[in-house]
Amino acid sequence: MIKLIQGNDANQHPAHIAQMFRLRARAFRDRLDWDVKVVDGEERDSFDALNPLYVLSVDSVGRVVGSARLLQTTGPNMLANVFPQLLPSGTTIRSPLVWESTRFCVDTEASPPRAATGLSPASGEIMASEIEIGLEAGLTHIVTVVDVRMERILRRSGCGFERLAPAVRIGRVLSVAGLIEVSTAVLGSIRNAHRLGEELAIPPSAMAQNVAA
Amino acid sequence: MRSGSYYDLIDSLKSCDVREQGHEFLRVVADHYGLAHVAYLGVNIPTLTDKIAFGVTTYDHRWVSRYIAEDYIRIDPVVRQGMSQLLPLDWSTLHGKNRKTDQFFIEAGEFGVGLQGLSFPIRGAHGETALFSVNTNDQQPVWEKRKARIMRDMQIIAYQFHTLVLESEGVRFEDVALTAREKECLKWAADGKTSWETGEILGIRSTTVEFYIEQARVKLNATNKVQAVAKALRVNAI
Repeated sequence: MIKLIQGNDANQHPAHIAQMFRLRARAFRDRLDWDVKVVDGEERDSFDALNPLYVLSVDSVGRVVGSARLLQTTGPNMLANVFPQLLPSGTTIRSPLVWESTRFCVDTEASPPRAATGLSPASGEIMASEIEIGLEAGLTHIVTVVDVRMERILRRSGCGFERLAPAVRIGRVLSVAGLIEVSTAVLGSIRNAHRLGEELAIPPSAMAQNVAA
Repeated sequence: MRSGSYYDLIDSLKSCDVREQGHEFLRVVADHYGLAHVAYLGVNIPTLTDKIAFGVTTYDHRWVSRYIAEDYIRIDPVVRQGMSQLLPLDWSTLHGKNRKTDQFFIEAGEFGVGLQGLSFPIRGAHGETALFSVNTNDQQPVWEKRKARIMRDMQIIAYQFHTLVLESEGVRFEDVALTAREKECLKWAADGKTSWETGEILGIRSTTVEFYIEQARVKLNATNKVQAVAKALRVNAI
């Protein structure tokens, strides 16, 4: 089940937010050995202070099993402010129709890849949600920075990741920036790859209470 | 200014002085998209909104006067919620929360503000923020359809208008150049560490930490350490 938490609402979901930061610490520091800052078991960076939109995958007993965060590219974001070397010199992605997805992670023990798909259901849920959010908000693309391992997973997941520039080594990690198209075609392709149904992953509707089913 | 195709609209934005013609431009947008009103509110723009928010709207001037006189920006739920989120905000999610805000919406309605509204949070490269709102008096199924239809165009127009405001008003952003040590000390302060704890982490005296934070505070033009941290985060200096 997908839970969207943004802005001030984070205060109303302290347990899930804390679980998310702890999952991020386990995924990025413990498992991937990235150079991230972990304090009291939680991984946070300065972009978490900018009211991102958090996309959480929550299992049937209420545990956070996956998460990602979205930021506008018109404002401060990781690609522009932290990894500009991933784009050709002098170029930036700054558009009201493109949002950036970062800190994508899944608890592969709690949501392991299914035999039928080879992919984690939580992963598919989050990816599908980001496209659904994008469709609702009128976006054309999601931009994301991934390591080349995650890039392969994105492609197998039906996202159709399009590289913006060649991969660059950042610290120990071979990283690449790319675009995911926001379209019903890509949404369908992600749902197919994960054998997800046609129903919305995100709560209906993220932007209004009064939507006819 | 003629109304016309969508691209004409965007083109006309480029040559618009926002104080002289901004209101008229927004009126053209409203008419083109079948909206009752369109409003831009700069909330956190250095030099421009230091003393008061900067607004360009199609609203009745009596509503604008009332809004300013009553200092409604402090209680306006659209501003409070909109400024903290990414997703466009449908005003219907704000109804029925408490009597004060319901009263606010009713009063707005009396001045012609549409019942159904959508607000686009704008975040700029330098951490500045603004809100672009549209409203109509559509009934529900019509509103859902209109929302979907105008969504993408409004995202573009909102941001373009914001950029225009910055240019037209000559807003300058000073890029704050913090040294590595200043950044480190602020980052640990942002994590809730005391000067002593930060000193332990960095292997320097706590008084030295306080020195770096003070240097940063001055560069950021902030009133105290807490403000310095908040501002550094907002303008992404750390």
